[in-house]
Order: sequence, then C-alpha cells, then structure tokens
Amino acid sequence: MNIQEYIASGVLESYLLGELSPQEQAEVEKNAAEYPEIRAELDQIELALEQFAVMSGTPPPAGTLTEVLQRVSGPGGGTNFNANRGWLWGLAILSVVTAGLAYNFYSNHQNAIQERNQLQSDLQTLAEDCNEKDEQLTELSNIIDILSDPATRAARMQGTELAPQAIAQVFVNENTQQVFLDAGNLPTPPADKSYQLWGLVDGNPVDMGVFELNTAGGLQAVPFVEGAQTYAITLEEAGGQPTPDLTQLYVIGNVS
Amino acid sequence: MLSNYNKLSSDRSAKIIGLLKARDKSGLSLLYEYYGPALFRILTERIPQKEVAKEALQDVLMKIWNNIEKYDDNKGRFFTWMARITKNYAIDVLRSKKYKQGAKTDSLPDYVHNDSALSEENYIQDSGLRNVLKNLSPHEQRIIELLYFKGYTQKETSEELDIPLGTVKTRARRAIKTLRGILGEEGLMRLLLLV
Repeated sequence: MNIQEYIASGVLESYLLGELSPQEQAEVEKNAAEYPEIRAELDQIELALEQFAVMSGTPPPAGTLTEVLQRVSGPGGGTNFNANRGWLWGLAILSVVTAGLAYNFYSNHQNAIQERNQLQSDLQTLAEDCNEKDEQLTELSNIIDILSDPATRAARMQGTELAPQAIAQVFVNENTQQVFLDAGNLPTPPADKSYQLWGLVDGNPVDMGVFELNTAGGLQAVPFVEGAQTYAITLEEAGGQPTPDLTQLYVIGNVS
Repeated sequence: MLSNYNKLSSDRSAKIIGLLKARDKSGLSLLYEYYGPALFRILTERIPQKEVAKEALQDVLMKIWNNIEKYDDNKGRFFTWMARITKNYAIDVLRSKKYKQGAKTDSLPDYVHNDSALSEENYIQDSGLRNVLKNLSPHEQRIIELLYFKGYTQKETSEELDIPLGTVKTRARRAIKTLRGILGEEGLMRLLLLV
C-alpha cells in the first residue's frame, strides 16, 4: 500500500470527523496499527482537532456535573460536591503553584545573595590586585623615567675576592635625588646576615641601608646620598651596622 | 510547541483515565473541567435546546464513566474517543421519539438559526481563538465548523456552502493542516491560562 497516497486521500480526516462507516473505521484503525507513519499522521490530526475543540468549547450550564456525580457511586466526590468545586480546584492548584514559585524565588534569592557576596569579594580582590599593579606600574615607569633620563649615571660595582663573579649596580640621578639599586647576582646571604649598601663621600662610608635580594623588577629604590662617587656593599650582622666591616666587602665601584 | 500541548493533554488524559478506571469520581470532575465545554459544544451545535443538550452531556458523561474499560489508547486519543461517543449520542437524541415530539412544539428552524448565530458570536469574542482563526480563510473556518461541530458530512457541507465536494475535501485538509501548525502555540498558552 502507498502510505503517502493513503494519507493524501483525506480518509484520516474523514475518520476523525466521524464520517466513515464502522467497517471503514475499523480499516483505518487496522492500518494505523500496522503503519507507524499513518498512526503519526492520525495523531497529529487528532491533536489539532482536539485543541480546536477544547479551545472553542461552550461552558455547560451550572449544575450539570453535580447531577452526574449524584448518579454514580464511588469515592472522590460525595453528595456535597458541586460545580463550584471548580474554583476550589483552581485555588488548590494556584496554592501549589504559588508555593512552588515562592520556594523557587526564595532559593533563587538565596543563590543570588551568595553569588553577589562571592562577586563582591572577587571584585574587592581584583580592586586590590589592580591597585597593587598600579603601584608597581607607577614604580616601574618611574624607574624607566629615571633610567632613560640623560642625567642618570650608573655605578657598576665589581666583585671582590670574596665573590669574584658578583656584579651589582646603582643608578643615580642628582637632579631628582633618586637612587636605584640593582642587586645583580650577589650570593644569597646566611640567615643571620644582611647586605648593606654604602655611599662613599670623600672616602667616608655613608649608610644607605640594608636590602633584600630578588626584589620584583630587579631594581629597588634606596636613599640618596649627596656627593657619593663610589658605592659598596658589605655583608653585615642582620639589620646592618653604623660602620662597614671592610673584611666583608663584596662589591665596589665608581660612578662612571 | 505542538508536542508540548501533546504532552500536557496526554498527561491529563492519562490521569483522568486512571481515576475513572479506579471508579474515582474526581476523574469525572477533572474530565468535566477540561473537556466538558468542548463536548458540550459538540452537542449544542447539533441539539439547539440548551436543556436537552445539558441532559445529553450528562448522559455522555455517564457513558464515559460506564464504558471507560472499552477505551483502547492504541486506537486513538482519549478526547477523540469521547468526541465520537458524544457525536453518536447527539445523533441518537435527535432521532429519538421523545426529541421529535418535543421539537414539533419548539419551531426548531428559527431556534437553530438564532442559536447558531449566538454561539458564533461567543466564539469570535474569544481573542485567543480569533488569533488562531485569522490564519484560516473564512471558507476554511466555515468548513471546519460544519464538519466538526455541526457534524455535517462532507457532502452536506458541499451542499450547504454550494461548492464542489472535491473542494470541501481539499479545504478541510488544508484547514486541518493550518490548525496543526498554529494551535500548537495558541493552544498551549490558553491551556496554561485556563489552569
């Protein structure tokens, strides 16, 4: 049998509109059971007509249902059942739906609060990161400014016998009175010792403070010493000393 | 969307059938709530006297209650089965002696005409349906109404509208096809609103 032709013949519509004889009806039912395509087509037509009918119905007069319920026996109704029960059902459904929605809103709300707090804390972290980067950037761009300033001069400090391979530098700008130290490749100091930087003015060492190795950016700002022509680094007791221990001189060099 | 309506309607039907088979009256109440208006319209389009149509609906509900075990969901949808019972019962009522005797005193033709006009107006006031029907040509609407609600045969429809039988068949098919496409969305929305 050609299924497409059968569907196109309109017999399915006739079937659903109740126009077929009982024999013809039985035949349609048999074909629908046998061919899934016919069954599917029939379902679709049924559904369309059903929706059309449900949508365009006419409400029956009040009391229609009550009398029927009185005629039948069984649970679920009772004699006091009346047509107005419809709104009770509606109310019950509405309550369930409302409760469901309320719970849904509540749980969404809780999630939203949690999410908001999380976002707020993320935002705070980002803002802090941002400030930190901003400071670093400002510092770096200052360093670049200083380094690229023609007035900036470098003092290259060479390693002594204690550390022949060591090299460190200071960059000095007299105009802005800024000094930056590049600790270079000084060996890691013992835990109870600190490196201390000195500026020599007319041969006299002036304390420029202790410093840590591995500062981000490689350069660190150190105090400015007026008139220093030579710079040196010694290894001192942790925290530094007022005068350098010259036996512990690691690097030394003049401003070029 | 059509499949959504399909599921909604199928779930409902399954629930109602379950209750009816368990002899639980609330199945009848649900049935009445969801499908009562549609079944009533099938009756009123054929039986113009409201009181007679109301009694017929009650009898139809009793038939469904008493014959639920005969419904076979392999043969078609629950609503289709109920609609067929309703149509057949409307024919039985119209053929009954009691009805024919009553009809003589009721000057039936006018009543039929008025009632039909009235219900048509109700029908058009319904905005959801009006939107749906905008998608059908007036000819297609008329054909579906005559065939589905009034229960005319295609031949009777062809005579009523004075168009060839072949045209009735083509238009009916086309109208159903259009309905299949558009009722999916509108139908579901309306059903949700009704809940």
